[in-house]
Amino acid sequence: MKNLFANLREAVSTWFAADLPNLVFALKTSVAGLLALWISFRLDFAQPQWALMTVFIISRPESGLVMTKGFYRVLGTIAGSAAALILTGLFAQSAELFILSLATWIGLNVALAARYRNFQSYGFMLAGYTAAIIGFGAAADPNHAFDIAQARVSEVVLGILCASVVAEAFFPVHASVQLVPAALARFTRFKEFLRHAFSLDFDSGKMLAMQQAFLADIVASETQRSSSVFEGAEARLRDARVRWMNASFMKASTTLYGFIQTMRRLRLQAPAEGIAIITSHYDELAGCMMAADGSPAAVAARLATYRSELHVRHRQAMPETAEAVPMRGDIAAAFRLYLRVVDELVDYVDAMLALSEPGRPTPPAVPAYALHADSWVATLSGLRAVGVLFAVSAFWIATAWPGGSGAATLGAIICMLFGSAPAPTIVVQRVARGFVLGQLMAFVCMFFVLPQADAFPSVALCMLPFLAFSAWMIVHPRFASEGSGIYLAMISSIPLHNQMHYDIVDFLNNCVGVFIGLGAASIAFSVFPSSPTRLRDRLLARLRDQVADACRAPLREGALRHRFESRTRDLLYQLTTPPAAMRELSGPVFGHAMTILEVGQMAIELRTVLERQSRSETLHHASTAMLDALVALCRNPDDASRTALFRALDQLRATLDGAADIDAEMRDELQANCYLIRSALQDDEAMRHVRGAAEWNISIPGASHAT
Amino acid sequence: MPREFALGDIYCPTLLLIFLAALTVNWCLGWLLARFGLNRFVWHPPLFHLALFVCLFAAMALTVYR
Repeated sequence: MKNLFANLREAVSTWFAADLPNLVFALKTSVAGLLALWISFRLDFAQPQWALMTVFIISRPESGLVMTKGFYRVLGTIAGSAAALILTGLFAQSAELFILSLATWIGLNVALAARYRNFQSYGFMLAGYTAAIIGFGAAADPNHAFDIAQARVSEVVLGILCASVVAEAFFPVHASVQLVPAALARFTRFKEFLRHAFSLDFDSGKMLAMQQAFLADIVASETQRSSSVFEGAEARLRDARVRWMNASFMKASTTLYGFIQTMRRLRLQAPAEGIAIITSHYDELAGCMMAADGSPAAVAARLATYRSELHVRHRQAMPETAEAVPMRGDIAAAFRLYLRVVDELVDYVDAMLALSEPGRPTPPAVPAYALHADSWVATLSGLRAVGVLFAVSAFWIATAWPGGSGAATLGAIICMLFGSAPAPTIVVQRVARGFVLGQLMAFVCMFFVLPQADAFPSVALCMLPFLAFSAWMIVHPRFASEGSGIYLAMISSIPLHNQMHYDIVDFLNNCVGVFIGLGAASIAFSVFPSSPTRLRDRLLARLRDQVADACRAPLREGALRHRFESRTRDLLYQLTTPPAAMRELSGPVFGHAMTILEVGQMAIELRTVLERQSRSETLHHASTAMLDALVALCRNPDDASRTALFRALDQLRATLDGAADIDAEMRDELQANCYLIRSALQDDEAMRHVRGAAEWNISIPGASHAT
Repeated sequence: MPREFALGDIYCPTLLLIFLAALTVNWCLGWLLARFGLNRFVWHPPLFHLALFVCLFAAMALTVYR
């Protein structure tokens, strides 16, 4: 008996510990919703349920996310309301023209949402569907169009204010506090990586796992950073430092990868004494990185001294040592790459130091992390939304059924919201399950519980269990989609007003409308399915084009390097996560992307040095021809274009040797880059990575796949 | 001070402007506090900043509306 009680107590405490944050979130969200509801009742708003709905839509456990989502929601709502008013003013007399122009507006917003991927995209989506929500009401009653739009904007703003205040004031959860510990953990892992890479006790599987972990780290840290801007002034001050840290980390890890690959290739050909020139420096660098307590401050101090010593020693000793051994060009190039690794490590460690210890000088300006948003997926989801809007509106106009506008709007909203989900049909099915439960809850709440209430406190008490349950469902990892269905259905079906009307006919019409909208959306998803293989092919093509970008896009003083690094990583991340992920191919895709990073990085470095130099016409021609040959090789990786590239490289090196007006240091730098590109592409393994998809022998059915 | 002003043909409450002004002042104060590390003297920074905002907004609104 005693044992049973002990077990029971343990079970309860485990459950409580695991579920406590979710319960707090459910309570916070319900309190915020009821607060918004109370204020809208007091101010006598037309549709208090919109304020309540807004609280639920933007509520997330992290308060930074609540405020970021809220901010873009306000912008989207204002733009959408303005558009709805203009369209009503122009086309209120003719339903067909009105729906046509509304569909155009929605299509436009979906196209704009495709340009972005995070919260900006959400804002554009809202501008689209707010126009639909307001537009249908306003067109039916043009004299009150302005009041409807104004009520919508006020209620949305009220909901956002209430949600933000409650999220920040009671048990706030800040994503930004995780940023520095996560960055320090990554720093430790990076040092580990460096040590293993130098002592050569690495197999390719371990290396791949490490690279994958770094990629996930960068993406997670960028996501947290972008949503923590509203988490108070400290987070904003830290923002630039996190950006600097991520940018310098990406640069350092790409260069280090290139260096490791170069050394691997060199080991196969060069004599041991030549390699020893470089490997003799490893111990010192590893010693610097593993400094005393391993804190960024200690590492930064030792690394800075080491770098200045290394540069001095390099200038004195390198030429004589290298003279004696064969392949001295390649070894000198590898040594220059080693110097670059050290330079970039210094930058990364400085950024870590600035991030982990406040009060350091302000970081350099780093452009935003470049994301790639696939236009095809977004166009498809826009087409789906417009198609559903047309089909359901046609039915509505033909039958004059009162629930029609609600059904059309809901269908379009669902198409937009879940268009980029990994498996939209499954998500819509789960949302539909939530809708059934939500409608049942709304029925019970509205016809059995609410009639007993007589003032706001009792209304609040009646609503609390229903609201808290749906909020708890949203954060539950297994029922998140069902949870969003529950609150969408429940809140939109209970018309809360100061003067309540309990109208079962309205309720049923609304209910039928919700399910018709949902049905239309799920039909649209099965008629225009988003195909993962097609998406994967498009992403792979973009990844191949990255080298062309590195060779041709304007340099913009370092901004190109950052854009190249971040976009390539973003593409790689999309390729290794659902829906485009290929489990059996994650290794080859990584090799492909890392080789693209390596080659592209060298091309950018070469171009940067060239730009600094006042160059002669012949040098310009030779370098352009080389870069063109490199782009051609990446587009069409066969032996003929490889030979063409090597010819162009030889030409460039000959021109460099002959050029009289060029600084010796610059010439060495350029020669080294030529060596590095040549040695990278001479390697058959690297060529296999460059070939990428064509080589992997997977049947990519994208070509024949129905879109 | 007029309680409402016309924006085009729409009457807007002056409180809205005061709200935005208080938000800006609060934002600047928050930046200063963070810049000089004064937030470590505060037990619950978000609540403190919320309270600060309420004080600012009430003070400005009451000055104008009295």
